[in-house]
Order: sequence, then C-alpha cells, then structure tokens
Amino acid sequence: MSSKPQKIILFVGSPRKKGTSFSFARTFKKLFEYRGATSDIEFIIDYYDGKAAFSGLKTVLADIDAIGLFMPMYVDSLPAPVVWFLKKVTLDFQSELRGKSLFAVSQCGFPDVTLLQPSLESCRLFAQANTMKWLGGLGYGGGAIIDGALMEDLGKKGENLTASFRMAVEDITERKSIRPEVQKRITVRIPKIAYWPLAAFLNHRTRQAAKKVGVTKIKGKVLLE
Amino acid sequence: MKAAILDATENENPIKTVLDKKLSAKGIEISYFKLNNLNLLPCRSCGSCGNRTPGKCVQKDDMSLVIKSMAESYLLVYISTIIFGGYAFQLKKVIDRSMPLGEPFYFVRDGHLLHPMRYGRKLLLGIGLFKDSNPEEEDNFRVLVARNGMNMQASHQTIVIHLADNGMLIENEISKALGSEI
Repeated sequence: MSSKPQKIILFVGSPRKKGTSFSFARTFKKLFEYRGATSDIEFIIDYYDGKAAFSGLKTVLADIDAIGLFMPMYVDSLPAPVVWFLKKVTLDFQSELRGKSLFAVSQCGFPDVTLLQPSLESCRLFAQANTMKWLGGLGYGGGAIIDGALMEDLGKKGENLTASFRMAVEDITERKSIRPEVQKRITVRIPKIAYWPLAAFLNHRTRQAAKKVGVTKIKGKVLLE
Repeated sequence: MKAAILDATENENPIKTVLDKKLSAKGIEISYFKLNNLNLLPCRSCGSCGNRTPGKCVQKDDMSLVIKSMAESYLLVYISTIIFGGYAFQLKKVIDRSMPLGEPFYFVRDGHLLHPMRYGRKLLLGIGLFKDSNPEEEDNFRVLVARNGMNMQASHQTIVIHLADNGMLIENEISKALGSEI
C-alpha cells in the first residue's frame, strides 16, 4: 500500500443529506482533492435503505486508502444506522478494512464537545476491531447553529473551520494522527455562565418554530393522554 | 410501579428470567420487549417530535408501543450486547426514537444543558453483554449509560455480564444494581 492516502471515502452517517455532517464532509472532500487525492461522499442511510448495494462496498473498500466517518450525535452516541453499518462492514468486509486509515468527525448541538467522546471512542474501537490505523476523531459542538450551512456561507467561522480541517487533511494524507491543535481550534468555547442565556435563545427559537406551524401546546404528557 | 425491559439480544438469555423474578417479587408490573421481533424504524431527524407534533413521532411502527411503556415506567432496563463500546443497533433505534420523552426546551443543571423530561423521574439500568472481554469497550459502555442517565435526569446503574456467567452471578449483580432504588 502507498504511504500517502490517495483514495478516501467519506461516509456521512446522518439521515439528513444536507445537514452539518454533509457540510463538513463536503469541505473535507474539497480539501483532499486540493491535495491531489480522490475523494467520494457516500450516505450510510442509502445503504440502510437499500438504495445503494452493500455488496458493492467490497470493491470500494478494497480500493481505498482511508475512510472518514461524519455523523451527528444521537442521544449521546452514534446514530442507529451508523451502528448497523459499522457492524455489517465488520462482518462482511474485515479483510478489505485491514490496514486502512480511519478518522471520524462528530458534531452535536450542545456546546460541550466532551459529549462526543463516546461516539468517537466507538469509532476508534471499530478501527481497533478491524485492525485499521486510527488517525483520530474530531468533535464539534454547536452543529445545530451551523444547521447544514456550507463553510463558504459562514464568514469567519467557516474560514476558521476550513483552515482547521485543512490541517487535519494534511495529517490524514500523511497517515499521521490528526494533530491536537485541530481540535483546539474548532472547539467552541462558551463559558458555563452563558448556558442560561443560550438555553433561553434556543427555547425562543423552538417556540418560534412551533408557532410558525400553528402548534401552541409543546409541553404535556401526550403519550399518557 | 412499572418497568420497561428493552432486550436487544438475539437469543434467549437468563437475564429476563432473573429480572422477572426480582421485579415480580416487588410487585412491579413488567413490559418486556424483544426488540428483534418488532418492526422498528430508525430516527430520520425530521424534527417533528420537537415542534410539529410535540412529544410524538410521526413514523408508524411498533415504537409507539415501546415508548408508551417507557413513558409509563419508572424503571427502564436496556439489555444489549456491547457493540464497539455502545448499544446494539436494535436498541439504539429505540433510544434514538425516545427523544419525545423529553421536551424540546433546554435548562441548565450542574453545568449541563439538558432537556426537561415529560414523564417524571426514572431509574435506568444498562446491562451490557460480552462474549470476548474488552475493558475499553466496557468503559465506553459505562460512560454511555451514565451519559444517558444524566441527560434523562435519571438515576442509573450499569452491569456488564460475560455471556458465560452463571445465573447466580447475574442474579447477584442485578440485585446489587437495583439495590434500594426499587
């Protein structure tokens, strides 16, 4: 195998095809291609729904040098279709995975990036189980604020994220662990004292969204009615 | 008092028998779900349960039975083989779809942003099963159950069981975990 990854497949683990996970994967794809690598984006939900042939992954995985996983956090860990996917590729394509590089990017709406630790650790354990080279995981808190926006539409925040992801891409294409500086750069720092006004802002947004669709009763024990 | 047992294991295991015995002895009404036998769709992140149909998922499948039981129950038991340090797929589908148990609002407690829960205080018991021991996977599983508990504002306990463990050992572990909470 070549010492520099040249073919990278990026799996998006969100069922939303235009969300923040896709936006991040899209940026990585552009950055990989800028460095001369070929990179494709695939949606895990397409394999789950049977829209993409799972058996076709055998050839794909045999051919690539590195895999990237991009997913939101669902209830403190990986979304269920991602669990399904990782288990199934382990059962069916372990020999194709062996020796390949793996990195992961997870995001959530909460500002506390440590919440993403179980998700990223599961990705590392997947790499371990398949004798892959784990290049590291990145966590982004505040993904709901991005809400699928493309980096070029996010002004300074987008520029910082792109510059940070560029460093990660440099490391990945050299088959090196993603340097810790990348995580420091993308970590949203909101002091805990600001959580109350943040909660108030998010709650206001929720009420506005409900009002827009004519919903007035948001609280209540509806399952017991 | 009610309990909802969500069993994501594929085969029969002694845990159900032990839980039946322990919980029935305390007069607890049990709803048991063998998740592999149910039609469960994954969450599509449509957001409906937040502000269009607050507290209810719009997907039509067996999850409506499961989540009603979770809402009614004080004790929630998750039984799962540990997969990459997390829950098996069948259980994770249920957990992802349990968002309607919380409100789409936020509040702050102990420095964490949390969703208020609609259905009162719960006790969460996570039971992870291993065929081949892996301390790192076990650690991550424990962290995950603790995080779920924190987010649900639920008391929580975690047990990790080797598939070769005998029934008496399993019974002791479950008794210890349930302790004085039940």
